[in-house]
Amino acid sequence: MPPTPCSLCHTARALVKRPKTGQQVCKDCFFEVFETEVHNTIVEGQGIFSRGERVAIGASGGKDSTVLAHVLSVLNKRYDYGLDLYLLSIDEGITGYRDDSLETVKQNQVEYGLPLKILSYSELYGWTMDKIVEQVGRRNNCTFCGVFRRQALDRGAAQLGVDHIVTGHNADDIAETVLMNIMRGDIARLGRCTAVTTQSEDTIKRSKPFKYAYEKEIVMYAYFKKLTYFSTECIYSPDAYRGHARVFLKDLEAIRPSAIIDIIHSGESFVLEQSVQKGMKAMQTCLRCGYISSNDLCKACALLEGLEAGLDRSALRQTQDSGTAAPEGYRTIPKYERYGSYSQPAAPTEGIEKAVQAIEIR
Amino acid sequence: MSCGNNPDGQGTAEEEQVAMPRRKQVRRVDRNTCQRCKMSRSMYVIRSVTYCRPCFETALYGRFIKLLHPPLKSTHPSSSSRNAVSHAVRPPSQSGDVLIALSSGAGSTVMLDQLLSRSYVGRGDGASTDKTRGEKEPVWGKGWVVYVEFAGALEGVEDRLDEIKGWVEGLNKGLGWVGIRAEDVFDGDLKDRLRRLAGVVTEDGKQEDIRRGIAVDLKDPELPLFPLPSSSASSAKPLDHLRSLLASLPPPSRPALLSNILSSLLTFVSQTIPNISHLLLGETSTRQAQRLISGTASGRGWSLPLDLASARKDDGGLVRLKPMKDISVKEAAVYCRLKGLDGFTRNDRRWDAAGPAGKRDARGKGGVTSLEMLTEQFIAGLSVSHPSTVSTINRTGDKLVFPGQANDSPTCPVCQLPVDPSALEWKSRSALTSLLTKTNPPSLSDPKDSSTPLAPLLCYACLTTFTPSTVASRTNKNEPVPLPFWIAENVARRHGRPVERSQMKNTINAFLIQDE
Repeated sequence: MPPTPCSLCHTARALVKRPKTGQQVCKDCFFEVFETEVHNTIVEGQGIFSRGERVAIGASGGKDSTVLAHVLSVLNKRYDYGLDLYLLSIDEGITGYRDDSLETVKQNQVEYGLPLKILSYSELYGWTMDKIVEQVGRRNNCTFCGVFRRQALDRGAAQLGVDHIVTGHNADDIAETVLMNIMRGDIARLGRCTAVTTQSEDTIKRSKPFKYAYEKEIVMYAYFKKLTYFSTECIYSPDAYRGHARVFLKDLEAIRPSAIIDIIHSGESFVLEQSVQKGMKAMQTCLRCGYISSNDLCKACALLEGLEAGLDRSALRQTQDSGTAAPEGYRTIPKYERYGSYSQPAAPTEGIEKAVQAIEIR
Repeated sequence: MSCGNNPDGQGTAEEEQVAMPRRKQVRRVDRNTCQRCKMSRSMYVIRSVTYCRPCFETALYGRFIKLLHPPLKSTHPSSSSRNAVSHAVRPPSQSGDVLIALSSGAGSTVMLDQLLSRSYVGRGDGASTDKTRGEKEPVWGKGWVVYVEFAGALEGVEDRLDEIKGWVEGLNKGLGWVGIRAEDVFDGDLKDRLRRLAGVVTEDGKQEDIRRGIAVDLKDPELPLFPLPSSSASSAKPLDHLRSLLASLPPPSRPALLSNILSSLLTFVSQTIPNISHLLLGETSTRQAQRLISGTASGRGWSLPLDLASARKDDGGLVRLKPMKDISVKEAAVYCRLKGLDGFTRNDRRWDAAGPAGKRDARGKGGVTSLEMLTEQFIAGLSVSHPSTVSTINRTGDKLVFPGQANDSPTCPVCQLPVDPSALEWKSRSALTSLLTKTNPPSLSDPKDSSTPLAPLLCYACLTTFTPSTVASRTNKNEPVPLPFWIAENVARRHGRPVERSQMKNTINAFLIQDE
């Protein structure tokens, strides 16, 4: 049987069947089509980036962020976006999970020549996830991790002096979130989960350039590009409600591969009732740490207070309308200042020098 | 993502538990007593609440009229303001008749029983009601029941057309009966048949010709359309056309087509039977939740709010109502059981069984081949551990609004719902199927073959239905497959067509002094 020619260039031998379109394509065409789709996502509408922007890639050492770092470096050169790229990692303090994956990030730092900043829960909150799990148990520990990570990323970005964080969330993640938000009636998140870029007042802009990239194609890209990444499930990840949505999505994909992108298309079309939008809480800043919050205290400060009080899972029910001052002897999160530790250099510098200026202690 | 956090970094397991709580311990109450009247012995447990039989019936009827009454009052000019507010007050008589869609599922059967047992539908004889004897004035003077049989298109499904006709006639409530088959969407005589059924006299030469069939080439992504040879339209049986179209589509697309066939036939019947003002659909909350999830998975997000609405008025003035939208299929099944209707009802739709099954067809969990069936099973499974699943999904759906202009947007020729803007462009940008630098320029097609493409007219979801990636390898024949008549009509409407002399004459008839 003669080899099947690539359905894009019609000359080379097809090596893969694209999970997204079902087309049989050669390796080079796969790289090109994958990178072009990510580029299309970046330049769509007003475009994600502006020239000269300082952009931190949220790097976990997993497949998504590893491929994102590679692809963004390639596209930045190819299309001359004029971006200053940085790697930003959060060390949650999970022995045997995060410490190993951070080694992969360090390897990426060397390979792509991108400056790396690692911020740990331990230095920011005084707690590691190992300690948190020890106190609160395995159930619901993701609440602490999720809230702390989001704030840690913003704080790390502020320390780097970057304007923008890009994360490796892929099409599967977004479709899964759309389904989950419908199933649990989370209207607020349903309205914004498909946006390629999100930004609320005083938070750093976040974008998802892999919004339309299938998870399987990301793995395929890493495989053929021989990229190394760290892959394992978090040792504390519970069987949460999200798991139901994930399994369901994989079943939908098995029946119709385009289901993932079709769900995203639906999610982009959803418009909420005016009354629902008006009912959403206005944002303010946390009275204790200055981070963006819809209550007097941000969720991270409330959770931390619960942990400091020695509470178990009941720390999750810690009220967010407490007073400004933390109880005596409790650790608190440092004040959040958008450009607190970074002062704008007099003359623009490029690359590693600029990053060093941004993070050096003055 | 390897952990349980969602893309915006705020979705957390605790919040998940809060938004979708697991089954809670039932309060320590006497479960042998009805929790509503607190007197009678309980017979049913619905969402952890116990009911006696009368309380269950009252609760179900209350939710039924909550959705049925308001749209009937707001459209009626004589509605008083107080009546317009309270859904408990019976609406005034409507000027038109009602068409009740009966599938023989529990939802539509309960709906029909509620309408008849509470005298919402008259016998069409204009008989006066004696209110002193407690008789209620019917809301609709006459009712028609329409049943669409899909047995011809589905493998191993029993044909129940005659059985259901007998059951409806046995009710002896003066209902008109319309029994049609799914393949009738290819039957040019359907309109005449329906008119004869309704007793409408058609003058010779004034019959509208709906035989102008079209066919589509499903192997070409542009979906070019071709006029169907007249011989093909007349000699081949409608069922052959339907089977050939279903066989040309991959299994996941077939239920979507069947759903469109059902919807178009119901619309067609309501437009053809004279004086129909309302179309009543017995869709339960369970089915609505499935529709929301499977519609989302099919890319139908743009028009879903219109599709899910409990009351929707179309361009022709027909109002579609879904009064069963707040009642679950389980509650409907319980009601059927207590009314002795359970021997008649069939809840199994089995649209999965349409068309031939291929060995290489993609399959999900348990060998399921359609998004709709997978969604149905998923929601049923999730409802066991999270009983509020259906109501939470429906609450989400209720908060969605249609983002476009419902009456001004062009409609999709297949699903007849508004088309989302630039569906084709969005699809081609987010999932590239060609590279400008490498793909050969398209060869100029033979001018003889050049025809109107269907793809640019379709909404995103129907585009997905008709352009699956594996179609080329699936179709056995190289010929275009015929499309149902309503698609041909809608395509012609979107593209414009030569106006016939009879239509011109109708427009200016009032100004003509004498015939030519």
